[in-house]
Amino acid sequence: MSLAAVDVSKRFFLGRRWPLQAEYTIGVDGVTCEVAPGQTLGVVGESGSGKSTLARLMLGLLAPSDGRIEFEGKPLSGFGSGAWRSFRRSVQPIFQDPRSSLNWRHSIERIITEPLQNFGQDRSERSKRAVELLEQVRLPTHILKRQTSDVSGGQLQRVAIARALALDPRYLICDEPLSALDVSVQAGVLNLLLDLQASRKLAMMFISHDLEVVRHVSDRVIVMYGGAVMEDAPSGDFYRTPRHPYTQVLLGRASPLAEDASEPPAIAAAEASSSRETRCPFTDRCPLRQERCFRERPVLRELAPGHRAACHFA
Amino acid sequence: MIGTTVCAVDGLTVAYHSGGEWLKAVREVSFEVCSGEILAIVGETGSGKSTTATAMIRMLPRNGRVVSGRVSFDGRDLLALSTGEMRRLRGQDIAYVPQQPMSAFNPTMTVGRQVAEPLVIHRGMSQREAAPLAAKRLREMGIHEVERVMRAYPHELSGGMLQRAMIATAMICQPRLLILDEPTSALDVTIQRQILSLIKEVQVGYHLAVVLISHDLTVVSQVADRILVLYGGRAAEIGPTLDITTRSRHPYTRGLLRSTLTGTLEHKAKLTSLAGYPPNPLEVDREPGCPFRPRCHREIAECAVAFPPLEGEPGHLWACYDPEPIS
Repeated sequence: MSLAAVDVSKRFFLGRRWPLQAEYTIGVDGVTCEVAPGQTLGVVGESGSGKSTLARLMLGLLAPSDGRIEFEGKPLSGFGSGAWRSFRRSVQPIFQDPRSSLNWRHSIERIITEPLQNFGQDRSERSKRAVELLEQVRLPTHILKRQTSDVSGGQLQRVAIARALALDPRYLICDEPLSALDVSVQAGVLNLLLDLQASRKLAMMFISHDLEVVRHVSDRVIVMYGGAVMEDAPSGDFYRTPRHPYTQVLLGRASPLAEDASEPPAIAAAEASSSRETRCPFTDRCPLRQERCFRERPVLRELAPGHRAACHFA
Repeated sequence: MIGTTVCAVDGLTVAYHSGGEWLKAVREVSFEVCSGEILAIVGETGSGKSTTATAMIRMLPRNGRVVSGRVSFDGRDLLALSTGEMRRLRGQDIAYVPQQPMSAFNPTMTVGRQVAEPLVIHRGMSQREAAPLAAKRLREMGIHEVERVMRAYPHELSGGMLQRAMIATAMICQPRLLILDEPTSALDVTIQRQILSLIKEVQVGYHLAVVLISHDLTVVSQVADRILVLYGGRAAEIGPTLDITTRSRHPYTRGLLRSTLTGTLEHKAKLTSLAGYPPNPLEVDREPGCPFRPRCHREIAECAVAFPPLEGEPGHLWACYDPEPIS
């Protein structure tokens, strides 16, 4: 019983080049991961690594090009309208910037109660529930009548959390929920998410570029680069014994190759003759890269119980 | 080694015209920067950090003006200079690196031309004369494929590369003061570290005075010699980096540091968080007293009456009637 990605890929169509050859950019590339009940899956990676695309796939906002997203054992692609409705109740998003993800024309009350209205609660129930939800996210109830422009970014992110909780979901997909907030309010919002998770047994997917935050909240962490998973480990192992060179670079324990470094001729030749499909995505910046990395793409292999990395030399 | 004072800001107050009245966004901020020193200005949205920087170089938006205060550079009052005199200083003796390298470059010109442009404008060089100097400067900034970067248009380069090119542009006339506004916040973590160490290298190599603006106290404390913490348009605390990070006295600075994850906290344990939210810059000017008061756990009666004066030890000052004890 979980929300899982099984060998999921997402390609975005760019256009056609003569003679009619379709061109794609890769968003997510063969990712398998699981958000287990009551647990937090942390996702880290730099911009362009496919983190947000993965979040949108997990939410069913995008359909995978290959592979499948499974909700409690059933693929989303086979869902009828009833199954979709119950999926939406159970899986809710929190996005990075509440100013752009929430409708600024609506009052705070309408933002919070819209999901309830959608699921058929009447007006008096809704306003009672709105007050409860505000208390849970520790906002004063007088802001219900306000517009989004009258409240601060930190308060608005709490409103977004209240909206996400309105239907009692079991999964929260949080895509960089803190990065648009001021430093002094981040800790409060993080505490709120931790509290809610503990009291409601919520499962979370927590996407962030901030390794300290991900370390703190996650039970398991995956590292993405170029759309693919580079390393997948319990969070303790991940920070104590990172195995993939990219993870070591992220954690500041190794330096990446300069973007335009000169290289030995053997590697340059291997690079020139390789194609994107056959080589390791991290070859462009890997400090440990060898010829083999261009010829043969490494697959995730188990290095310790529950700890996997996709590198020939890990 | 820290040298002589290059730039001194004294009692700077800046106001913006908004909704028919003038509201002060920066109030009585004073600091100085010496050659061979990095001064970091840290604050949240609306704290006045970018306003301070743009007021220093007289590039405030149209609805902003300096109400009072002095900005002296080499003993000259920048605020009293004519537009032409100011224009000659900017880009030549004082360099400014704006937020977001991607949008600061002109998308229709090659990067090489833009890096060389200050030499063409200030030194009257031709493009041909300036190009080799631009290439040299780019190489100093850790760019290897200088030829390719010079010919490239901004959209063809990555964010980290553009930031290096931006710093090269700022450094091309060998200024004595470099102001950087959030130079790392648009970049990924790994690139962030590289840019910070580049800034440190450049500052040491040229014995430069640097003002580094950021919202992130932990990031700047890796490179800054001194830190100025702004809150609600006022200086909350200023002092040497070690004093600010280990023996800060202002409750806001202390709160910021406490709410940062350091890796010593137990997994999923609660963080110590600051209550409340940063003040709305439009409202903070209307109230007397300390802008941090509504969020402060040490509030006393005086706090509501008047803003506390900056006081403390030589070099380390805080604006608080009841400062945190040294732990």
